[in-house]
Amino acid sequence: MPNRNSSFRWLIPALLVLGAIGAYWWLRQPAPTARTAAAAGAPSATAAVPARQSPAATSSSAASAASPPPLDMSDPNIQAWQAQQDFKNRITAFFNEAKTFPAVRRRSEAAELTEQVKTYESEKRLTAAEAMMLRVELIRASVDDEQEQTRQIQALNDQYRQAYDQSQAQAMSDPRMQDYKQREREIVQRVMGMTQFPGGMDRDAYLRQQLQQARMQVFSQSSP
Amino acid sequence: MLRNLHKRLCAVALLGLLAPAAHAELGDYSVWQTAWNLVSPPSPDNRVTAAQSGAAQYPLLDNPSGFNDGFSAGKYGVWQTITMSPDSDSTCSDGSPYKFFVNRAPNTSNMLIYFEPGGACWDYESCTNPSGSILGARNPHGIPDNYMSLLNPGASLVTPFVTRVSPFEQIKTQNWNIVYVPYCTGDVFGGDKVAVYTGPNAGDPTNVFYHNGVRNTRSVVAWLKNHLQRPAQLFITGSSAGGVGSLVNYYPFRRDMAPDKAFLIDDSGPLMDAPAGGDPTVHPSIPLHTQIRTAWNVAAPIAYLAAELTALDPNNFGTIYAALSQKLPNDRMGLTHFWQDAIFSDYSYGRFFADIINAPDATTRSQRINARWTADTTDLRNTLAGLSNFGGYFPQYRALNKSHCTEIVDFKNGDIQERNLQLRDFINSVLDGSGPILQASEASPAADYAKPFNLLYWTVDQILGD
Repeated sequence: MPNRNSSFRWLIPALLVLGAIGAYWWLRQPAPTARTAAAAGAPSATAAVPARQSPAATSSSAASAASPPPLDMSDPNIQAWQAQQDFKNRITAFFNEAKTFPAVRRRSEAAELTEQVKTYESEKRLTAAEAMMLRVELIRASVDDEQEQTRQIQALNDQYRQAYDQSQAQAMSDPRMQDYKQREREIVQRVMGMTQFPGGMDRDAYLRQQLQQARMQVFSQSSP
Repeated sequence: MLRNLHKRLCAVALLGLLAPAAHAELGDYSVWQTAWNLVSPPSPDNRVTAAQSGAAQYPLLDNPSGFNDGFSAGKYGVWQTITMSPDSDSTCSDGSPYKFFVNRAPNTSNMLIYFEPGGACWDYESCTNPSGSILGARNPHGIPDNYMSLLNPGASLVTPFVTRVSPFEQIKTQNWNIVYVPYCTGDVFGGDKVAVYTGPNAGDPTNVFYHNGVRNTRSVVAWLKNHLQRPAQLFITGSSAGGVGSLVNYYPFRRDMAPDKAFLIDDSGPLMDAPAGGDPTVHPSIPLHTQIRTAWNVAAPIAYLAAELTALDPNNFGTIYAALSQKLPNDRMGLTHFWQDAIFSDYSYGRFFADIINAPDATTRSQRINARWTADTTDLRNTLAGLSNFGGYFPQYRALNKSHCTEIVDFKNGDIQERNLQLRDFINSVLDGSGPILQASEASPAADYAKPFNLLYWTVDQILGD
């Protein structure tokens, strides 16, 4: 197994060298140019495909197209994205290498990664299914006893299923849905009793139109 | 000057850590652009035109101005719930607002569209299903805002394609913009009808069921065009009902999104050869297709497709493969499913043939279903064999989800041992290959049946309640 410390020792000097080369190159470059959309092989579209816009063109703060606007690398969005990439690399490395770790280290790292999974799940950076699979595999990688593995996985499953069942119950008690279903019943009863329909429509089209109008009255609010 | 140089040195060094590990390809942004996008999200660059929103049939309708859809352009790497107003002509089967989910990436314009699995329904019994004894459809009560935060049975069949981090597979789409299209209309995303189902008994409540799959998908396209950048590469896929959804919506979706390159993988959602009025003993999917033509009003969306897919015969849905192949010669497309698939086959034949309905026991019932599935799949495999840009990959069996869906959970055990092929070979052939797309089929399930117990698959089956 490679020693991560020894490879890390070279990382900062390498980055500085790369950074210097990159900076020299960057300072000598014009502003990023637009990426033209080729749309090769696409079927005929109803509108011409536009070219991409450069950061200079889209940024309202850019003073001129010649020099890219400065970036604040401490921006929370940049930091958050980098942290997410780091987590992804770390957990992938763990799954690849865990079999070679002593049991204590496996358990310790799995526990730490599990907490990170839970955090990312709560932040909606991972779906429940994604998080569940990761936690199942972290259990399998860190718990040697198969019966205990099964017990922990079943407990996890029960926890997620309970949350799902609660959510289903809540969805059915939405007052807007109750309002809409009442209107829907009235509309269906009325329309199904009609023999002629306005505007040259048939029953299906008129029913759809009436129901959509009702949905627009109930659900077309600014807050979802 | 020196302070600026120092800042830029630090910026360049840090930027090197921002790019995902995958090598850059068409659609990927530079390190600088990635960082810039995180701070200043790019504007949409291929908005819906007046012609598209005013089209006579299936116009692209987005939310009205001022409607709070829940989207924040600057939130990257986070699953965002996009709520669609009824003005977009979208709805779930119970009339509740349609929602879908976007996870934006700053490093690329490339986009993955995933159509969710979830059964189907076409009459009172299957769409109402009070006892749960008949195969039906998912999400009859709509899509909650926190859908992606719930381990609902549909989402538990998660494909590595829609993960950012999978313990099983690393694939480039995990770094792409990901759009998850939930399923809540019971019509494999292909219906266009407000059905009023009445029960068999006097006191049964009427079930108004919105088979609105096509219009929901059009609203997704409209929103994507008005909020995100045009993708350089567009990959559309789905499993089961979502597989059919990816197939029937592929052409208008990719036409209007206008990517440079487009790809399709239909996982386990085949449209079998079934000429209307033909012999069901030769084409066993005829009764199913006859049923859904009426129940879902498929005639309208099929006619819409056939207007531009000239090789599509509206009386035979199985002609869609040749039609897509002919219309889109530069696209790379494929279909995959198991020969021993026990779920899609049950939907296809289980309620339509007397010898299946009256089978004396479960084993006989399964055998009769599988015989028809084999006949249909043989036909389909032969159709695809003649298409160089529409591949077919047919392994025999996997001990997960009754051998239904090849790309869920992981890409393993959909292998064709006889040719030393994995499902991954097929996926790579579609997404990264050149020349004819892989055509492969497994003759015997013996090697699959001999595999050892798989705890992971058992776990997933527990979640599904299998």
